[in-house]
Amino acid sequence: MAVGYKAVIWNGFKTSYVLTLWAAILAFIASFIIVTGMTQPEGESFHPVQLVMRAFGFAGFSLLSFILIIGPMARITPRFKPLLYNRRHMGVSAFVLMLIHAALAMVWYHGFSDISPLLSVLTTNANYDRIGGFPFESLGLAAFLILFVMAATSHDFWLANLGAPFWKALHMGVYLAFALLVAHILLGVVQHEKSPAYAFWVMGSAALVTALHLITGWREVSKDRRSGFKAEDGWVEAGPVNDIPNDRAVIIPGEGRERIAVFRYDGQVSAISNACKHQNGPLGEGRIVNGCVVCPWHGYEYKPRDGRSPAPFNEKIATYKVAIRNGIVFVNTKALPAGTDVEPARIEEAQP
Amino acid sequence: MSRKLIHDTDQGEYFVGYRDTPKVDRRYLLGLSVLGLGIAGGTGAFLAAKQGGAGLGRWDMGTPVSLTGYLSEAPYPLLRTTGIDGTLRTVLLACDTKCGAQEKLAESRISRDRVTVRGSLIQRGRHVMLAVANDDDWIMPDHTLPARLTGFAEEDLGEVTINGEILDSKCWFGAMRPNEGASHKACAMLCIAGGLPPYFYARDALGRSRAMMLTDPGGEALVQPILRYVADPVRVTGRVHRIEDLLQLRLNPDNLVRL
Repeated sequence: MAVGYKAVIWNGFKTSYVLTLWAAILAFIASFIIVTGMTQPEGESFHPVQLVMRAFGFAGFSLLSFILIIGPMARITPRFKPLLYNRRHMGVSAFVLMLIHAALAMVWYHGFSDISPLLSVLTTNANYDRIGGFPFESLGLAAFLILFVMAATSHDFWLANLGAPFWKALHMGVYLAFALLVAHILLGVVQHEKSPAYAFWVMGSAALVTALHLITGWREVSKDRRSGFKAEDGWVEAGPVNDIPNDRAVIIPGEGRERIAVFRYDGQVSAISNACKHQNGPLGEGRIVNGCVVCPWHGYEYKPRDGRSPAPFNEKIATYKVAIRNGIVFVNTKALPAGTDVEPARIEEAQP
Repeated sequence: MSRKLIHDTDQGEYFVGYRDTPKVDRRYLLGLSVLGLGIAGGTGAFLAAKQGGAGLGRWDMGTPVSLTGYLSEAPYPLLRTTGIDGTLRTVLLACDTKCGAQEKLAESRISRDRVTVRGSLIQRGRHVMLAVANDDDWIMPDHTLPARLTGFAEEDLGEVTINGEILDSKCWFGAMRPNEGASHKACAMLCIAGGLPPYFYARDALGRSRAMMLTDPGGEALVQPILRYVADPVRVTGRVHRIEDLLQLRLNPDNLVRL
């Protein structure tokens, strides 16, 4: 959390994270280039430009695939949360790799002729009506443009000024970009390479990303189905208070697509929106530290009784009325205006 | 009603990015970093090892050469010379980018039959191309060479139907590696549209390959009708002609079938 904007607010963890990330990227590129030199048939070799172009393209797609499994993996094990915390560094790094790949491809394959490289990408091969010989470059270009917009707005300045819903919707474009890149590779290099390893690599990455999202989505849907029995006047049952560990929450479905985080702390219970104002992080998977709910994604903090960030920050989220009867927590699913102070339900009063 | 927490194993310290990283996360991240470096290096090596051959051929841009011989402008600019290995060889002429030498020849105002040309060699086996120097003196008349009183030996080798791929000669001779397939399609189309000779590359089940210059049935340049078939697997029917050491596949584009 920060009051002002800086390009990157570096700390020790972030520095180690980025250094390790780039060490892995360089390991990929170096091993690709070295092993290519060692394994080419007698008398054959890659042109250096084409070798570097491939190395950066393959590294970029591999990194993007890894980025897309971090979110669901962080829902499965909290040990992945530190990777999620600085995911945007990975995203921008993946964009840089693809930028180098795209720039080399544009100049090498579409430059050095009478028409502009950009026009050439879209028009030289116009076989858009056939799978065989499809102009796969245009798919890569579309993905690149999406990733460019994402990389350019990958900062809290844009998050604040575009508004969280729009920013989030914009950045969900990564899934479209990923699908376009899968098609780009399948209709491009996979058509040329005879080894099935390339098809397995691309399809395996796509299958892993899809499967992890489906598994974590299914887990959440089935949890929602098991919870939130309707009572009356908008009140729902959130379960026994003793099932909520201290300084933790349970998540129940609210109205529409809303989800509510019901926190137990200091002998009382409060309910707030489950969606962090920052990037819709799941607050109910966070904890209360020093009296504030701390988002598990990027550490944004909110006071549980009024949903407001502590001064000098000014984020605020919706709150909900809570009550405890016979040891069972009830929540009114009608969201109160963001930042509304709600008296917590006291556990000792409700449980003689 | 009871409910499991999503992070029901999360009983230890709580990671917050701007605070000290908990010990359990530090240990986990250290292991994950080592694993990540291994997977990254391993994936790069695996993908590299599974690549096919990038193709033979070289463009020796750093070694300028001069060749003296007999110039032909149709169907594509070429030089017949003994300057490569002492035997009469065909050397295709190209500009230094994605174009043939037609425009540069049109700009030069010299006697066209016996010449010395300068440039750099692009070679793949017995296939040779000269990327001519990018200056005004790239071609000079050379009458030290005797005038030819007869034409070059031409032979009709008969009709063939073969499967293969249409490529541009400059990239396939060695300007680019790899130089086949979908990734190279647009580049090859630009090259052929720019005046570089199209070639037909066929490889049989035994791995034997043959590359021939593509022309129309009259032996003239063939460009627009074949462009959309470039770099796709195709079947062609045409007549093969040998002119000295150059093979031409003379093709009616109506007989092109995409496979």
